Amino acid sequence: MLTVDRPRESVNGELLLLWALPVVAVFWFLSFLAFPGFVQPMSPALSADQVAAFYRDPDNLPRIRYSMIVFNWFGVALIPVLAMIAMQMRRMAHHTPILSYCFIGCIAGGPTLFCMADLYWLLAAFRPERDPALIQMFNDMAWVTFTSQVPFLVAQSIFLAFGVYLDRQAKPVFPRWVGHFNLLIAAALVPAAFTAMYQDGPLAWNGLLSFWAKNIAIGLWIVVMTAALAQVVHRQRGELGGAAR
Amino acid sequence: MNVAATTLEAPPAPASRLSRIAWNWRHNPKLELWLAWYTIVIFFNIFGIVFFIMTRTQPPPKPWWGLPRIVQWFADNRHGLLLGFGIMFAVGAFVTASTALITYSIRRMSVSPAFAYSYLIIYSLAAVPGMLLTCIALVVGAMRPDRDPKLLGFLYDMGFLSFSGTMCGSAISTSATPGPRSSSPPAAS
Repeated sequence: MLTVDRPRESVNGELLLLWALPVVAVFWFLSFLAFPGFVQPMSPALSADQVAAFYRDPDNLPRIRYSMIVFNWFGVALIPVLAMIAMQMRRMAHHTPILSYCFIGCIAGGPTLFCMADLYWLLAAFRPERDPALIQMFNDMAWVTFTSQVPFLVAQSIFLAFGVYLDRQAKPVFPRWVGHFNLLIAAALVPAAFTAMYQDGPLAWNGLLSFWAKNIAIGLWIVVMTAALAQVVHRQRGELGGAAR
Repeated sequence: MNVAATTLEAPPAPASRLSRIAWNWRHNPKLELWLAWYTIVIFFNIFGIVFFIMTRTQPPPKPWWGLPRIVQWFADNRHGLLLGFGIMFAVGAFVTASTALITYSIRRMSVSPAFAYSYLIIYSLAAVPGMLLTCIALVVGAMRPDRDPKLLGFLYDMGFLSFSGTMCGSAISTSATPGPRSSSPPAAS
């Protein structure tokens, strides 16, 4: 965590971590399109037999399995970017490292919960001949986990926003709009937490707020924060001089 | 770490309550610690209301109940479970403020930073099986009251079995405290 002793070495290799993300994002996007339950999000109002038929469909089954396997391979690849944001939080003009500890505490939660949702989808698809009631239960667990598990994303956005607001120095690490942007993203994610209450409408897991607004907000956060981070990383390397690789 | 220069030349704190909040936001050198501390107070109040009152999951219902009683429990608490755990899914990760504050305190002790970082990671990880997985299993049970009672029984067991077993992190914090004291505590960094 300590970056001040050897500042030049501390940024070595950051560009590799940073620019690996757009490559990984291609795999995320392709997996998202490959999973037949996302292109037209499945309704929670489907009966157990309809859910079982979705998994038994020979066109769907390989797409479900392969998309979730690829998600499991690459889902954790967001963590290096989050770790780099935590490193930048350590450079902010704070009195204590506590906001960066808060942020670090959130880093692994989102990808862990995402992997759990993948596991439930894979369980449902592993033996589609199982009792439809069981397939429906795994499908429910997958969708509820995937949709409602926003707590770490909400908290890390708010911790980062506070970090930006309290970074009171002549040349702050991130510009102030990054703080406003993170609060906006947190607000867009919150409705999805209540998805299990409804089986139709905007809060249902295939609804406008719980599916579209939430997932677009996550995608937008990744794009915008990667760009903002890239700017900061390049600026920091410029300030440190030529030794950084 | 840089310390904001503004705090060194802070004006005196004003008398009125609102102005004092603004002054603290601007000039209090311990603002980050107080923000984390108040987050703990607010979070655990919400946690208490959700787990003890809204969802009736604390104190936990009985492990020896038969399926009809479990189905009845889900039916009785359906709306509380769905709304209450929705609240936890929105604010649940603010518990990391508590973890971060204790991590910072361990960093200030005269022991290896490994204690602090172990504590931070253990408790961040523990929130997943110890709180969120419990909530997920019980919400999935509550969302379809007409589900096969055997499956409701499975979700009930999964929820409450997952709730236990997260307290090993306290061993890290207690084992850090009796470390030999140096005359000047190391600065956290």
